Amino acid sequence: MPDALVQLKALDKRFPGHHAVRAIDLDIAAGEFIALMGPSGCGKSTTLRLIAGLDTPTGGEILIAGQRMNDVPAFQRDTPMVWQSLALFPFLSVIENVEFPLRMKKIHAAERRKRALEWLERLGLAGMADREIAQLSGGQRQRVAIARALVIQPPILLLDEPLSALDAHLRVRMQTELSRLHKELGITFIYVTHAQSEAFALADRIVLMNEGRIQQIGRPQHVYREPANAFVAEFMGANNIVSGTAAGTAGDKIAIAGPLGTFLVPARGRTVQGRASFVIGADRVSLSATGGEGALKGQVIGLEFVGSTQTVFIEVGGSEFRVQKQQHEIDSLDLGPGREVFLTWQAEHAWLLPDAA
Amino acid sequence: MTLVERMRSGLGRRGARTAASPAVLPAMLGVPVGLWQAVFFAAPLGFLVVVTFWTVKSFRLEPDFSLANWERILLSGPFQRALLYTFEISLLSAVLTLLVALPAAYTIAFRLPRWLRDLAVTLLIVPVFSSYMLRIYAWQIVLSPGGIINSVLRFLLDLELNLLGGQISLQVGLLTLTLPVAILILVMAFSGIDRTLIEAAENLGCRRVRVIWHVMLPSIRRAIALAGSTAFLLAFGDYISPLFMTGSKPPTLSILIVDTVKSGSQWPRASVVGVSMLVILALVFLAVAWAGRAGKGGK
Amino acid sequence: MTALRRASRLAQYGFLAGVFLFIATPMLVIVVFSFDANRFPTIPWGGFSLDWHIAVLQDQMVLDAFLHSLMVAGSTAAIATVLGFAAAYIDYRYLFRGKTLFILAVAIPPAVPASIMGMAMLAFLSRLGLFGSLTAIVVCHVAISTSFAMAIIRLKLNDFSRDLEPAAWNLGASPLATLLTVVLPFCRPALIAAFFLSAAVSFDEFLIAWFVGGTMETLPVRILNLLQGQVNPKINAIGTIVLLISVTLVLIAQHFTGLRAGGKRKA
Repeated sequence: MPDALVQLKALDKRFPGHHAVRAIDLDIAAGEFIALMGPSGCGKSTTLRLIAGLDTPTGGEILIAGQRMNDVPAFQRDTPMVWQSLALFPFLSVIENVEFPLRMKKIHAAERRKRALEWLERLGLAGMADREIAQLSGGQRQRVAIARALVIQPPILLLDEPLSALDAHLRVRMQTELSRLHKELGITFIYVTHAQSEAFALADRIVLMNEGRIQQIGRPQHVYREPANAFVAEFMGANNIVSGTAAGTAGDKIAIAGPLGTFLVPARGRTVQGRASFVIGADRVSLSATGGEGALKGQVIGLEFVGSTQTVFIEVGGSEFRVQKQQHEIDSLDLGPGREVFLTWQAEHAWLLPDAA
Repeated sequence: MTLVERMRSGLGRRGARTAASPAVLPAMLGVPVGLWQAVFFAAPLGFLVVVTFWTVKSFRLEPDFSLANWERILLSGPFQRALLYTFEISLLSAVLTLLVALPAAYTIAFRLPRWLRDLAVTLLIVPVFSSYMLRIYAWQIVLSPGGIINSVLRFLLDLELNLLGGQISLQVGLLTLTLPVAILILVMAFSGIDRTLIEAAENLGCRRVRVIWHVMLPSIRRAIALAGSTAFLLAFGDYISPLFMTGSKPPTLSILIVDTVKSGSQWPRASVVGVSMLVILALVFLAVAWAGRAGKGGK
Repeated sequence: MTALRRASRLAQYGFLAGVFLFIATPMLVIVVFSFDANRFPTIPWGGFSLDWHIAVLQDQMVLDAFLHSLMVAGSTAAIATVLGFAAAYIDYRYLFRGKTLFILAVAIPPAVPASIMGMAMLAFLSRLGLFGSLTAIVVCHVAISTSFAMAIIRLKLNDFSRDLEPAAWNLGASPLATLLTVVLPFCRPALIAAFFLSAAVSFDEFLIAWFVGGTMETLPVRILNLLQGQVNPKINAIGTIVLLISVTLVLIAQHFTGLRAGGKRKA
């Protein structure tokens, strides 16, 4: 991306005993909402801290608006962050917290107060200016933290798992607010989370990381449906991975032969030899009581009820399959542990993993 | 400055967030304190050790490297007697302190309502920092032959007790010094015991006394050791109680030091006494710490 | 078993009352008998009299010593609070080789018996030519009080969330600005407590002041010298004033620490 706002070039961070970020490359466009995702310890928070200047890279470069930032200390970068712990100053009132960045920019008192009050109002905190932080609810504190970060009207906003401390219902409300803010302000949001649902709801693009490396970058749906490797496929949750060996082609499809049988997978212009795997989404598998041509026979291990969907765990020839269905779709099947059931899917829905390793 | 460089390198992720900070700040903060303590605490003590090897020639202190002072003092009868005596009274004081402090701390921690507990803590903190010397003087008044207790006894029972001048008055004085601190340490420790441990023990059928003996005291073992060591330390180094309660007869090591210094230029000898005291205190603390670790076993 | 339990409770409360009586008696004796017309405090009480207090207020040596004590305590408190804050902050924030030694050097001084410390200071400072001045006393008192100041402030910093400083940097505050606008305001109650406690420690200290001060007496040294003589009823009067001041200083310090038996109150 030639005129990206933030560019990470071979960015590397090594701690004593822990290689947190391994020479990653990433370009972030101005105005986009990008989510850094991954399991604990994958390097997403470290990357965010490197962008903010709270840690110095041990290799590579960070460029913001084309300027090299490696040697610029944190307090001289305009990359305010919304912290997981919120990090509100307990000895300052609400408005004093929001005024803090303006105070650091030596903006004089009257102007400071005016701008801070504007932002409090914008975030629905009008009238709370003189309250103490301790008197606020979790959601209100969250909004003070956001107001404090945005009051200097930065080009980039960093967010480090900002909603993880909130209860589920409040989290959803805040997600909507963040989305709205992003659209209104048009600035770049860099958002770290381990919750897939948040990333999916908010982000234009997702960066999935694992063990310090970027596994895949792309739009949420794309990463979900077309994972780049087995890790991505598994992290995204509701995917089944079937492995085997390439065994010829049939039209625009490749045949993969394995212990469970031979399956056709769309080639999409790729060729593959030797070991190969493909992915079939849990919601793309159909269940029936009677088998048919090409159906897999399996035994139900267990069921998990999550709202209106059921996840059915099925043992098929030594492997475990996960199938997600709406409750009403499988009512008639009368499923229970130990019952026999047949699985099928449409070949078009299978996705050949580019990196079988 | 290598200290600054070392600070900059910062070990580990937590705590050493030196990434965005110049090393000027820690140097600005650390150097004054470090220097002050080095010059006005470490250096004088170091100097004291050095002086033990110096000699006094015609009333003037002269640098030397002589073990004469050490020989003279360590082998002298008065010193050895004073050492033994000081050690004995300190040990006795530590034991007495614990015997009094433990029940008192227990009562404060478990048997008082919150507001009374806070008041008790305040009433204990205040004496620690207020005029130990004056309080010993007050005891002297109270215990002396013409004093309050004897006046009352004479009036009621026609009795007169010789309370001053003996171990009783000395230990009373030392208790005045050690008790508040010891009780505070133990109150904090008792308050910090995990309540679920106590509930579990009671749930398993232990009566209160057994809970105390088998659950609580072992839990605060370290605090008991700390309270006892502190009492020992305070008593061992005390100058005032032996002076006023027993008239310096027999003398403790601190009295020996003050007298030697007052009487003129026998610095090396006084220093030997002082350094010996420090060595003994260090050994006592190490012994207590070692005993604590040995007792913990495989924890 | 309730009769036994009640008896045992009574015994516990009685014992505790006895302990507090033991601790309080000396202070009560001092104060009460400072108003006793008798030269020697005894029962029966000799009648209420302000004579001794008046005599004390007219005693020039006592007044000088009192002034010296105030000056020494004030200077000690100011310097010790600054140094104690520096030590506490360094302990909180940094990790470096020799840190244990550094912290030990600040924390240990109160554990060294005052007689040894006094002697060492005297020998050392007289070689530096600092003997016999209030400065000498201040210098030694600071070395000791800093330990208490550091402890109080370090305790407060335990509640200082690890994210607050990076958050301040992130919002545009340089490390120095962060120290001044975030850390110091957060520590304010502890700084005040440290100041008053250091003042109390210095005000109360007599042995080192006696060794090192020479003819520059602080109030406790004056008392010590008075005590070496005969029983002097003025001592009770001086003692009352000294106790009043000490107690006030400690109570103020305690108020700002918010220290409680069952855990800390958020000050």
